[in-house]
Amino acid sequence: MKNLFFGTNLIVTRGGRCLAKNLEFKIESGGMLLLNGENGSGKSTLLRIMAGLSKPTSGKIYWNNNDVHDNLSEHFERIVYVGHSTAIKSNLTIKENLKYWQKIHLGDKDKRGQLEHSLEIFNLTTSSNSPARFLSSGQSRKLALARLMLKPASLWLLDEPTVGLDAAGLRGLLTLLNNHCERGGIVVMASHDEVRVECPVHILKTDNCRKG
Amino acid sequence: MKKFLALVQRDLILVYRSANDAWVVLFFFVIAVTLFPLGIGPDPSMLQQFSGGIIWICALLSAMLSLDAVFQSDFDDGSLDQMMLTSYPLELLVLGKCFVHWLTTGFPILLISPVLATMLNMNLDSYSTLLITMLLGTPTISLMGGVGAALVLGSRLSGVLISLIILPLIIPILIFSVAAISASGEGMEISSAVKLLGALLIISSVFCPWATAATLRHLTN
Repeated sequence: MKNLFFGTNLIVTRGGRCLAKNLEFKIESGGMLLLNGENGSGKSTLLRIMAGLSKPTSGKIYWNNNDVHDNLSEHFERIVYVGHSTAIKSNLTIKENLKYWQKIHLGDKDKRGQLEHSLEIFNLTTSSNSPARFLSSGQSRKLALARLMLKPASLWLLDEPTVGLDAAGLRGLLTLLNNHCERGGIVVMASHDEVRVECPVHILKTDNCRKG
Repeated sequence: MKKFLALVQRDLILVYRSANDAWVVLFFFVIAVTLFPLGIGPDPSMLQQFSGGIIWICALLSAMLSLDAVFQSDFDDGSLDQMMLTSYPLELLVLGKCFVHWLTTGFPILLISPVLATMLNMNLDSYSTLLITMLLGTPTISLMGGVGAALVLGSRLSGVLISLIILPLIIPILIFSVAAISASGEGMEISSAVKLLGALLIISSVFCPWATAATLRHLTN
């Protein structure tokens, strides 16, 4: 099924200050939207709005012509959001972190193979039973990204996923992104690094408030 | 239900692995109660008269110690965002967190309270009433405290702030519990106070998770 994710006339503010305005975007199944802009230009806030965590100051976001903020629980079913904060509990092991996440988002559907596979892709298998507090920041990022494989979501919202990743981690992420696009998923990503994916990439500039 | 249990299980593991926090609350309770005989004198009849009040006031203060942490770490590390991004009602996840708070704070206090009651020379007829009021009162504190914990998230001095917000609200629990304990010591009827405590528990288990979830949603917005 073809999906369409689009937003019209969005204004992003934070703490009453305008960060970006007149934002329009439209992505179809298999496409990727790259948020481009300086630090503090509203990329993270826009991603939170797309996730349904915040409301846009004005404008609307649609999934197949339905306003996502009208039915948030349906929207939550179809997204995975990986933000700046990794949502990792340092006193749980790597595996326990992923298992908890899997349970809370999918209930009983414990796809064991998927979990192991996600650990393999990000090179975390050997340390999977050690507490997450021993992870470096790059490894924490990998653990956060490993969640992408545990939920069959059609929309991925990634906030600077490449920060701190090594070459192998970056390759893993690229594989995931390409597979996701191929399956007809949609990705929205904020990143300052160049990410070479094989799907059609749209770019949205987010810093047009300051330029009047 | 599976998701509810997953959350409770995770939080219990987290408490178990950083067990200090739970012990600190319990030791604070024991020490605070122990200070009273030293402070007001060892006269058995006077201690007996005040025993219910002493135990309950110390229980309230001890419960405040760990309340501000109920959502704090989830808020700091982004887990709270992820908790909201599920189709599972946030209200039930909140209920789960309050349940874990009670299980690791209110319940140990309840278990140790008869020992401290002995130290304060509590009337033997009052022990069962003490346990009943604890059983009905401490979960209410955790539920109401959840609202406060959500309100003070991200603020400095959240520990003090939450006491200022929540302690006035739980005065009814203190009044009814102590009234029931002293009434039972004099061989009087306690059912009305106990019923009121039960009513408070039922009301707060319906409304508090809802108010807490609304506060959390507003906060992440």
